[in-house]
Amino acid sequence: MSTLEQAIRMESPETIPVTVGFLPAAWLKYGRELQRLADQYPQFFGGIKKDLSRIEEEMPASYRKGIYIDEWNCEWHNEHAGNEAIVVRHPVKTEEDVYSLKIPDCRDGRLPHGFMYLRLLDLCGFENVMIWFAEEDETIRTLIDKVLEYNLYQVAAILPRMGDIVYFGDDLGTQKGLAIGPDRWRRYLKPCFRKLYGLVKAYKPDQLIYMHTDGCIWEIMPDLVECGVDIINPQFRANGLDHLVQVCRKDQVIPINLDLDRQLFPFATRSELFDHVGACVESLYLREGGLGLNVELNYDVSLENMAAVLDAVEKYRHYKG
Amino acid sequence: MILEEISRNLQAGKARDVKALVQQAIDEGIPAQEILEKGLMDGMNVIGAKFSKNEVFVPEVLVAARAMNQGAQLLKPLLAEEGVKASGKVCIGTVEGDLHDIGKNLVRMMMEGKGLEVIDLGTDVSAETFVETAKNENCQIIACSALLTTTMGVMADVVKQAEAAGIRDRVKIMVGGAPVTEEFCRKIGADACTPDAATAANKALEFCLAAQ
Repeated sequence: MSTLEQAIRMESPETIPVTVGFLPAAWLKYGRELQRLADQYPQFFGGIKKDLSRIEEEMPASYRKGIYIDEWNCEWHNEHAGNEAIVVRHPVKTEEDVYSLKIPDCRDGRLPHGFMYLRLLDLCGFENVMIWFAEEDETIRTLIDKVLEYNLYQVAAILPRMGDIVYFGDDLGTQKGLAIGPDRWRRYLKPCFRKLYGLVKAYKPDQLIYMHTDGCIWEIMPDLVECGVDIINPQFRANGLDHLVQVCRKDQVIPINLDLDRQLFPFATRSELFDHVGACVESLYLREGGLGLNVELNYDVSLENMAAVLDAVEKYRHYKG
Repeated sequence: MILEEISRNLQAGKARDVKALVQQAIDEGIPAQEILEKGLMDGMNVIGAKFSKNEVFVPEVLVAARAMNQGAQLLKPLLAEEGVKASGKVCIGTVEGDLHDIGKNLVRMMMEGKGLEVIDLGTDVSAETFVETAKNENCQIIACSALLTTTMGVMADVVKQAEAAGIRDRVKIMVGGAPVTEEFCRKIGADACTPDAATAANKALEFCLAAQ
């Protein structure tokens, strides 16, 4: 059993689990130097050897520079190879389009980041969706039902091939909270996540569900647990350490794989990075588990700072309180 | 009173009712500026304050802004006739290399709700475009948005280029977006970084009024 699984199950892992990811843009910029860095931390990278000649080839379509059309006909644009693209042309422009929208035929189990809430925005544009939420009429319900129906097919497709942990990702928050507010989220979107994750748990009751979500979402973390999520991957900066401690440690224990402050990494000194990791671990550590550390590194972080972050997580993953 | 009714209906996002009430107020001979300030802008101020306190959320802000636009369309020609000018002019955009526009659009709507004229430069806007627009259009404010740490550096370029263009003393530069902090704002020599869209609009109005 991995330390992450032990942490989720509160089975006192020997060390705090650490997950580290380099965005493809970082590989494109640093190449061999990044491989050398990864080689110095086999505890995080498992000795992987990246085929540097195939980085662009192996990137998901939404990370390639240029335009990409997805299965819902959303048009993604990318200005910088290796960073994630953004949808700039939305296929659903009017309320009539919502009613005539056909869900994609594919049943391949692909559930990309942003599969439920962000999918609404990608399909229709942020402003349309927000206005339909304000009007609270049949349009928003129809849209949500269609996206949910598609996602239920896709979840059903992955059931027989789930690993120990099944991963989902959807950015539910903005900088200051949920764009639609927590009450509206509970009325419209919570039932969707409950159905989707309920399908997973019905198939295999002890299946672990991991959910990544960017943005300020601390208000609905207990709701996500109610929906069946076993570990949440929240952002440090958007939520604030105080909120995370209150919601995930004082009110109840919610396992989290904390996204360390990626917006700090490019600008901090080595000692600031150690202070940051130390503060997170000291505030959220539980002997039984319930804590992981997630590090995402992009090309704007210097190799020196990458090493500092990795040294800091190496130091604090052995923390015992 | 009809102006209070306009404000109330705007807060409720009732665009059709706001439009009808604004027309009624015009027909009753109320000056356009008074309708704008005590009806439409009053309503947007209430919504903005509630948004800052998380009492209302983006959907409420957007339907209120839509109602404001409906009313403001009727007032535009009358305001021009009365010689009423906007309280200030802002050029806003998401910086070069960044295509995210949700935050930027919210700030634009809030600023318009404060009676500011806003030139929306869209996304992926170069430092040169911000500065040239501010110079050519006599903007009092350049407002830059970024969601990515990788593109924040463009904000520093905007400050430098505004200095080089000789407009820095008459243009305030506001910066915002998820990775932008007050410390970063100070470091690059920008003038303000605010925590949310409503506060950004308040700050912009404050700058514009101070410049008058």
